[in-house]
This record gives sequence, structure tokens and C-alpha cells, in this order.
Amino acid sequence: MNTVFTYIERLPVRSKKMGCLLICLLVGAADYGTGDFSLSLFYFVPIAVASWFIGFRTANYIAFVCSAELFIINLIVVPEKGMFVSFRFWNALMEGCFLFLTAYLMSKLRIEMDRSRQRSIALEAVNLELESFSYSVSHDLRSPLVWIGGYCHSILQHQGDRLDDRYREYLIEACRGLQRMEKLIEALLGLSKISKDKLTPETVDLSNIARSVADQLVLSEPERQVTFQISDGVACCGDPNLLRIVLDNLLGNAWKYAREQVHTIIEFGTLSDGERITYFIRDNGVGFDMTIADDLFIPFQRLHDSDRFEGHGIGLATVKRAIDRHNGEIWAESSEGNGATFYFTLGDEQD
Amino acid sequence: MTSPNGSTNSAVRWRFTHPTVFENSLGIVRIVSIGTLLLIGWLDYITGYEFGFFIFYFIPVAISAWYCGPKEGISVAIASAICWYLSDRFTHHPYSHAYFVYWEMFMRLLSFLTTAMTLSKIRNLVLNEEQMIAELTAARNQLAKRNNSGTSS
Repeated sequence: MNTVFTYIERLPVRSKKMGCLLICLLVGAADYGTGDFSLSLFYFVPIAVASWFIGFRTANYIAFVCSAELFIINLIVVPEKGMFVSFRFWNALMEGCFLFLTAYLMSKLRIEMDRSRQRSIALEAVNLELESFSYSVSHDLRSPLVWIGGYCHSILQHQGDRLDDRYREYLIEACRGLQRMEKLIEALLGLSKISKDKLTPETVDLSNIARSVADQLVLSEPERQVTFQISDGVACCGDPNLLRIVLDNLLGNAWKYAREQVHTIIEFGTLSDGERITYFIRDNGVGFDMTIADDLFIPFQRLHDSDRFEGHGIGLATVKRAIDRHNGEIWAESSEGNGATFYFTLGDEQD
Repeated sequence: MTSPNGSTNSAVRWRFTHPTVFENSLGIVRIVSIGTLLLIGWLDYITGYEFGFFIFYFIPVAISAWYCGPKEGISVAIASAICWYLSDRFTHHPYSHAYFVYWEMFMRLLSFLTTAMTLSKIRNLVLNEEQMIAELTAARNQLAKRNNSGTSS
């Protein structure tokens, strides 16, 4: 079918017009030949071809020629027996109206489809440009940062004793700022990478990933009292790397925002309504105000003070993008002081 | 209702031609389209086979396809073809061969189905485009909001 469409599309406009006119005349001749076995629907073919491949004006012109043929055949050549002329005229008029209606609708459909396709192409191009821009900016920012960091460390290491306390403190602050910026750039590159990398879907054991993330978190702050309640056998079909990033971020957030609790409880499991599986991660941390929940997944948007909880506001945006690439959904429920639950689903067909 | 520059007029026209304008009263739209179909079928019957009513069957098909979606559009297209057939049958339209009536009905059915599917497709394209514009506007507003808060802080 596509081959036929491409072939017709490539024909010169004049050939298309002549072809439509020829089909129109052939249908008229066949309609005449078959007598009261009506072929009026076949007039639709040249009109549809003209609407789709040439344009509204030509389609109207073809519709006019078809209507004229219908009038001639129905009124003069093979009139239906015993029918008044006015009725025959009316019936031919109705058929003609249908042909004009078809020409209009098909042309309108083609125009709308073209417009939609053009917008999609333009949007994709802009999106790609933005992605490349943010990637190259993040990437190019790295090397000057490495130099600055290197020089700062070198000064501190070799000449630190000769600096007075105030200037040494300034240099230490500069190094801390550089570290924060390196982390931010790392996160930004991760965000760009998620959109760029090709998905390799396979069966993924989410319980295993959750357990390994939990072990890492426990190792990072062994003095904390934390209970992980991870359901067994939670598996899905998806990209293992992206799903690791999802769980890394969600469990990491749960860990971070429950820091102020004496005993942290973090839960990972699934809910099922019979049709689809919803995965969830629940904590008993500080939670957040649901009125500003819309901002959760926007890059650089933070719901908590960065002095109280460190971070750069990229984590949940990265999670959202990874879930989007799996054609899934993510949302959260919480109330301030009562912990938060993040839910996500994964689509059957993945990007 | 009207204004010198006609902007209200176009707004009103747009409001009623928009596919989701009756989104909250789809039941009424279905009743109206079925009612219109029955009325046209009845008029087609009482005016006899000579006076063609074929084009008017597109009204309920178009209403359903545009305001309710493809499923309803296709259902009403099939119902329209059946109505047309019944009307033609009961007005005793003479054909030189008995099976011609089925051929005629098949052609009507294809016409109604084509119209229903074309309109539904246009409807979906319009709705998709609007959704895309809404999402892009929301993203732009969020960016503007963030920029404003960044500037003010």
C-alpha cells in the first residue's frame, strides 16, 4: 500500500490530474454501461486521489466533472423508469453533494495530517537541538571545572600552610562549590543521556535492584536505624540501566528525606488492579505539601530547603524521563510530616 | 453575542464546532443523533423511494463521529445504512434484480463509514494538536515561572 502511495506521490501533478480525470471518465462509462446497477460510489476514487495527492481545488474540479456525469447519466442517458424529472434531478444533486462533501473532508484530512506531521517534525528538531545544547554545555563546562578544582587543591596542598585562616577557608569553600557543580553537571549529563540512549528491554528483577541499592545506602550511613521492606519477586520488562536509575533515585530520596526520623522505614512493593501493576516506594520521612506536587518532576525544582536536604533537583526529572521512555506514568502522594509514596507504572510498548 | 470586530462571533462558532464542547453531555448527543436518524429514516419512508434522502443520513453520522468519536460514528453509520435499507425496502423501490438493493445498501454503508472515519480522524488530529499546544504552553509557563522566581530571588 505504501509503495502505491509513494509512487502516486512522486508522479508529476499534471499526470495525477490526468489520471484522476481518466478514472472519473472510466467510472462514468462503466456506470452508463451497467444501467440501473449503480456505480456511484466509485466516483469517490478519483476524488479521494485528487484530494489526497493534489489539493482541494483539483478535488473540487474532479467532483464537478463526476457530478456532471451523474447528472447526464441519471437525467438523460439511463433515467430510472417512471420517475419524474424533478426527482431524478434531485437524486443526481444529492449524489453530487456527496461527492463535494467527500472532496472537502478528504482535503481537510490531508491538510490536518500534513500540519500535524510538520509540527511534530519541527518539535522533534527543536527538542533534539535543546538536548544537544544542554549535553554539550554540560560536557564543555566540565574541563574548566577540572582545571579550577586542580589549581585550588594544588594551592591548598602546597601553599595551604602559608595562607592565613581566612583565605584557606575561602579556598575550601571554593572546592566545595566545585564539587557541588560537578555533581550537578553529572546529573545534567545523566538526564540528557537518558533521552539519548537506546532502550534494551528485557526481564528485570526489580526486587534485586532495590536490595542492591538499599545495601549501598546502608553502607553510606551505617549508623542510621533503617528498615527496608522489599517485596520479593517484583519483575518487569524494561531497560535494566534506566530502571536502576529510577530505583536509585527514588530509594535515595526516601533515604534522604527520612533522615530526621529516629527509625526510618522504606518500603518497595507493587499494587495490582487486575489490569496493570503499579510499583510503589514509601517512606516515613518529612513528606511534602500536595498543593505543590506538580513541581516535583520539573528539573531544578526543589520542594525542600537545600540547607536541610542536599540535592540539585534533577533526580526526579531524570526518573520521570526514564518512566516516560517506558511509556509509563509516575505520581506521588504525601502530606507534610507523614512520609511520601511514589507510584509508577510501565507501559507494554516501550519507546 | 455579536461585536463590531466579530471576535465574539468567531468565538461562539468555535465553541460549538469544537469536538469536546458536548463532552459532559454525550448521552444527549447520542439521543439527538439517533433521533435525527430515525426522523430522516421516517421522512425517507414517507416521501417514497423516488425522492432521495441519502445525503441527509450524513447529519447523524457526522454528529456522532465529530462529538462522540470513531466508535459512535461507525455505529451510527451502520444504523444509517440499515435505516436507508428499511426505508427503501418498505417503499417498494423496483429494481431489475432483487440483489441490487443489497449492492445499493453496501454502497451507502461504505459512504457513511468513510465519512464517519474521516471525521473521526480529523477530530483526533484536532484534539491531539490542542493537547500538544496545551502541554507546550504549560511547559513554557513553568519555565517563565521559574525564570521569574529566579530573577526575584
